[in-house]
Amino acid sequence: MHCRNFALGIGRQIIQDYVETGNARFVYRHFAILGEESVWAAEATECADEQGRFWDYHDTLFENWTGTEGNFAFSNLVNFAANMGLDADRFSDCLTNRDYLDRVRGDSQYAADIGVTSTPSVFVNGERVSGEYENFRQAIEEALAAAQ
Amino acid sequence: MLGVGAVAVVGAIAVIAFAALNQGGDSNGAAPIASDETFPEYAHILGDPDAPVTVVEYSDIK
Repeated sequence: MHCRNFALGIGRQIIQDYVETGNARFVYRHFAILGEESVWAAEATECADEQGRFWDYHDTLFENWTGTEGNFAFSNLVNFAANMGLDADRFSDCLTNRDYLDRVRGDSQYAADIGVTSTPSVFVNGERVSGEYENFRQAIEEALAAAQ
Repeated sequence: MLGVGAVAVVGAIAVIAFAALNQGGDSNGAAPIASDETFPEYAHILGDPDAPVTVVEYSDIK
């Protein structure tokens, strides 16, 4: 499964069914392993976070994902931000200065250190879950039952 | 009799080897992580910080 499919499908379903109901928290961490544009895109989400729009920008990138080279080139990343109404100059400076490169690299290294080798990798209370939504639903329900 | 014993030993070794090769992970090699894992202050977290279940996604937007 591509991260896009998880983020815009199963991920959203989990957030709707379990996070918005107070039963779960959802944590996003970078594992930028697919080349330079991966790292740029991850850094760009952090620059959007500076303006309080991490999740919106995260969704925007996935919604505009094409899988082609240059999809997440610098100019496109800035354009996405501008189209969302972010301060494009501030965003551009953040990205140019690579203010969050260390953070992205740190997250990615952490993931590698704990044994993550593919994306998306999703854990429910520490146990890796993959596949269709039903697998996640079952894992979360079991975790909820165990927590009671 | 010796043959049966040898088969049992070989079988036990195979089971141990299989378990070792698959320790803590699935086909993607991701080991379980502690469910009480703490996250950096900058981590992007949605929902109640005290919720009983934590879902963590490691993702590459590209």
